[in-house]
Amino acid sequence: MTNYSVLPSGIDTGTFEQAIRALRQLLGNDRVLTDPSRLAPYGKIMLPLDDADHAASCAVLPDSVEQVQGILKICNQYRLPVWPVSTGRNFGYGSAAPGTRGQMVLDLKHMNRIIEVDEHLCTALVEPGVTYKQLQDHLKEHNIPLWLSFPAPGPIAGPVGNTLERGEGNTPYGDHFNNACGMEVVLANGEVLRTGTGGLANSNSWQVFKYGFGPYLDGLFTQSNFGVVTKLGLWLMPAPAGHRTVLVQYDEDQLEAAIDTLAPLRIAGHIPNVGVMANAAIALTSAKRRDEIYQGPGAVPQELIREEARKIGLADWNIIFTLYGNEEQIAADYKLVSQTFERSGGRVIPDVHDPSQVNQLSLDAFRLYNWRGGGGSMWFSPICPARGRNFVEQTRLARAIYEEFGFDYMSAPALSGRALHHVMPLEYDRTDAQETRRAHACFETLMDEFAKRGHAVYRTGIGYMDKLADSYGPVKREVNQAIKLALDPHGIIAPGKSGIH
Amino acid sequence: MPKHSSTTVWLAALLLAGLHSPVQAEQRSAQQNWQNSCVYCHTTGVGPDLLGRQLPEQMTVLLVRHGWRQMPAFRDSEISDTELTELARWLATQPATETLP
Repeated sequence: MTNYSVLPSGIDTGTFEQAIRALRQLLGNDRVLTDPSRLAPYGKIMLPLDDADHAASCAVLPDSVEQVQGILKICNQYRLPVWPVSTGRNFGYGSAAPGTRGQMVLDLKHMNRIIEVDEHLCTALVEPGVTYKQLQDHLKEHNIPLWLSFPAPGPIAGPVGNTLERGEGNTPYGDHFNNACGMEVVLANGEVLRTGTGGLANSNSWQVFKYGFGPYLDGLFTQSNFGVVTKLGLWLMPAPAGHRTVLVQYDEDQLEAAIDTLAPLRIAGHIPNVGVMANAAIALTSAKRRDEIYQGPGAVPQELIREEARKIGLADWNIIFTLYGNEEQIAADYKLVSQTFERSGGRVIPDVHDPSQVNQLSLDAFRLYNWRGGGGSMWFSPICPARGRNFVEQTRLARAIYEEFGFDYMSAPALSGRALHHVMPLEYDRTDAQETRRAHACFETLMDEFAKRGHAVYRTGIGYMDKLADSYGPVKREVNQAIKLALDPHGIIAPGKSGIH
Repeated sequence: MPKHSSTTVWLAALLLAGLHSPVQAEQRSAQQNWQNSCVYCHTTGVGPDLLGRQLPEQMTVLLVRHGWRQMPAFRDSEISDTELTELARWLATQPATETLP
């Protein structure tokens, strides 16, 4: 009998070996990984958790829907828990590591077909392993003038995983789930569900009409463990005739006015895209490492951050958004928004560059990870009503907690509309055990203190999902549980995902 | 008539775009893998420049598979052993000329 270094919880070596044999028969030996050296990349996480608690027992690499169906049947037979990942690039939320020790990773990276692009109605249908880079290359190769919206790890991440996590990008299509249309989902029993109008044989509207008939189910398969999404329809943005990216700067004492000026412009559509509003600290990471400006204990003093940021033209708060269209449209919009911001005391600087707002793939935002170095990073992601006083309250609360634990408060809310995704990175040195423990404690304190005041968090990483699910109350958990039981009675798909067991 | 011909053009475009791209089972060259991922950090100053440094091949393989500090790890499913070996060999022999300013 083979010795396995990690086993799924509640499964003995003999049963595991039988399951592995069945999986090898289905997929071939080289598509079932059990060797610790082959599993090592799945364990590389940035969160302040113990690697051992998130070690995979094996990984399987299917390349078709039929193989995913077969895998789930085997998982059901042997009660093998399986953690699906698309491109596995959910940095700061868990990357490709399973939620609990011993789960098998269902690595969908080899399912990377771009099944269809409809240039006329601006849609695409893709598999989970497709990266934004691959899709963009495809569009360029075929001269299709459509734009993508992507998150920070754009080139190496993909639309299916990000959309299913309800991630955000920075174009007018930045609310990714809102721009998804039609899913193919393999259920735990191996059946294949197509949502929207996809259930019709030869449906001709799967990627253009979201709702179909009866309950609209797509939301059930986002941030959940109710099925394995194997195809996703996307709405893509027609390439605009032109664009102009604008920076508006405010000082800390103008923050409330900044948000109260911004929100109506965004809601009315004068600012058409999900721009960002970077505070000085996160903006400074584009040019500096922490140790270049500060070697003392605790958080870098705010005054020092401000001073360094000023040297490179950054303010306490830096709003970056883009206007799209032809010259006349942009000129009219620019006049309106710049005058509105200026009246409220904002300083308007036109013609800056932000690749993610204009369809350019880049990993420049990863300079953030060089700030502290050491590979520790996590996202605290509360939602903030787009009201000045709410945002000021959140920033003060977050800053106080970050600094209490000795970390630098960084903030880069996505300008989503009526709400802001107030995403904040927590950068720490993961090679320092003490600092890692502190990052964990800081994160849990942030979760507690925000929940206490009614600030909802929209997303979190492995290791924190139960805690976050608790904050949404017992009834939500019971309903999730009932759905789970109905669709996946043996609980084989990603147990623990979003606090659903 | 003009309406009809524009429909034909559109259908042709749709058919062209709709051709299934195959699962990338075929091996990608070292340059393709470099262009798909590595360049975004290792020619832009996000990560260290790697071209022209004659990095030992084994070191490249190890760093790609395990990651290092803020560098992510890359899985079999993203780059096969054969592709990685070729990438490491290619990288070890590249001159520094491709480095972006």
